[in-house]
Amino acid sequence: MEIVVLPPKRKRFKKFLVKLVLFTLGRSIVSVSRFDSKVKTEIENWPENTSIIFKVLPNGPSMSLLCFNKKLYKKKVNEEEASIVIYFKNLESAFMALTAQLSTIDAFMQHRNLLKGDPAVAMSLVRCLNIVQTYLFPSLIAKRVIKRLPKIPWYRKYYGRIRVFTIGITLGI
Amino acid sequence: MALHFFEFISPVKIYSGYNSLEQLPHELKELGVNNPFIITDQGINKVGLLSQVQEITGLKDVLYYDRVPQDSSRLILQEIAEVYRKNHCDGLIALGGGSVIDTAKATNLLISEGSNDFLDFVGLDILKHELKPLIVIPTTAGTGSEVTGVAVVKDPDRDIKMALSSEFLFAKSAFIDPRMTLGLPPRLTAATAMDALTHAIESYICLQKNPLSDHFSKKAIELIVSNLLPLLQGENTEERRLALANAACLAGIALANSIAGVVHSLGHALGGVCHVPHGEAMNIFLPAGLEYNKKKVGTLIGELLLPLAGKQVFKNTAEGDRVDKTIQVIIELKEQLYKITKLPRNLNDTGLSVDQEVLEKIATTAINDGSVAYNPEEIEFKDALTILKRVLNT
Repeated sequence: MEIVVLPPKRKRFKKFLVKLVLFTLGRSIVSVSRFDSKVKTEIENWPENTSIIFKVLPNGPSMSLLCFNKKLYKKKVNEEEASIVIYFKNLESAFMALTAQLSTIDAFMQHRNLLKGDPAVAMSLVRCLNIVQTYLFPSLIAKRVIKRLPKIPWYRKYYGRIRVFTIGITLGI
Repeated sequence: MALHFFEFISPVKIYSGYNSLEQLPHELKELGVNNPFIITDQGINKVGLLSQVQEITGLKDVLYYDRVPQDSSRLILQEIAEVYRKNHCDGLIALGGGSVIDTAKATNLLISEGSNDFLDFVGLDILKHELKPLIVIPTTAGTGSEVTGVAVVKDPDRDIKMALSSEFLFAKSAFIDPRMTLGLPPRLTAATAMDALTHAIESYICLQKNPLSDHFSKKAIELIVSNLLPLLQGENTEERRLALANAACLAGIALANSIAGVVHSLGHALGGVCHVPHGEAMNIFLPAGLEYNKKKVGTLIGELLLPLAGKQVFKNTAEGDRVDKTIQVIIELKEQLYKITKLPRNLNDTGLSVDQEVLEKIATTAINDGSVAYNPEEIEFKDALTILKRVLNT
């Protein structure tokens, strides 16, 4: 009997989408860190030069952040030197987590992610991501991926949302 | 955020029962260990448990290290790894409680990876290689560390406990022998049993729970509540000791697969900042942690009334009242343990002077603990502080 080896599907569209969402997420975190006091405080408590990478295994897209002078920047960081690396085990898991089908926490509960680095900074990062997601998504979607929505007055939430979707994502400020 | 997917792992070969230690030499042979290295602490050595194990197993000339402190730091791990390397050992035996077992796991990591700093490996599931064979002989019935893939080590620079978690950290085998816990003092027996009870309860209510871990949790609770008080009231028999040790092991398996929540976050923080023993911290925070989570997982907490209080009480309690009754049963158990062993019920009982600054430090450390992620309810700084204030006197 002849064995036919089927090559894996390329999933070009999903890969592109994950890359796009990672880029958007990176710019959004940086943007929110400029105006949201809670995110600012979290980042100020990180050790200087803390670097964070989100990477899709085995050779998928990645996105990195660097904390310098108590401010966050979206900057290329060497994986070996990163303080925190959050690996998505595969493209499918990254797609689910990055398109709000799966919460950050659930991704870890379901062992879809790996974490390298200090859990204390990782927990602080999760709190920041919760706030960023509150600005990015309408409450109905945010509630599905966050245990308890952070309390943000409605006018600040809408101001933040407009800011992130205009100059935040396009200019990274 | 329901769990639609789970992993379950329990790779440790468990030898449990009377005279189980007699099988250790055979297990060493099976694992190909010819020159084992025993890691233990001075307390174990002083009470004669080390020599007892050496006599039972015939490992009289085996090299040992007996200076493991309550919270091992980087330097201790380096020191033990150095002794191991110098003497060309080829396997580890951990003889002790949680600190000793976690120290042995972390040392094994350094030895196997040829490293000198455990901080290089801090994280979740990042190890890639099998480690050296590790055999565990628990001398307390509480931590369940003999069956978990986690090692908690103190980072003295920051006064916090760091957790390493990986499937490669699991021991190869564990020997649960009631002779090892028969001489455990009452207060330590109570504290370690409350640690095991907390593992079982938090594993049942936290986010990574799954149908397999649920069964381990319930059986562990049953064994603890039916054996702890009789044992402390004078029935210090091998049978009761074995039941508690098995309960700790079952709760450990549940914990390894479901992970803990806010009680552990606060307990790790209190241990790191104020050096309160882990079991005592669990006893202090357990009811308050359940109270905090009851809005989200009240039904699950209520279900635990059955293994905790038995069929009659469960049947006689209305469904809506079971959550509060469960918490009440635990509070009553705490009171009885305090009467018999003076096990601290609250922060006041520990004799610590905790001012606002200390409470804030504990709260800050707690919300950065990894177990926060697994708790059903979100925990922010002010939430942690509220729980801490609640357990000051009650």
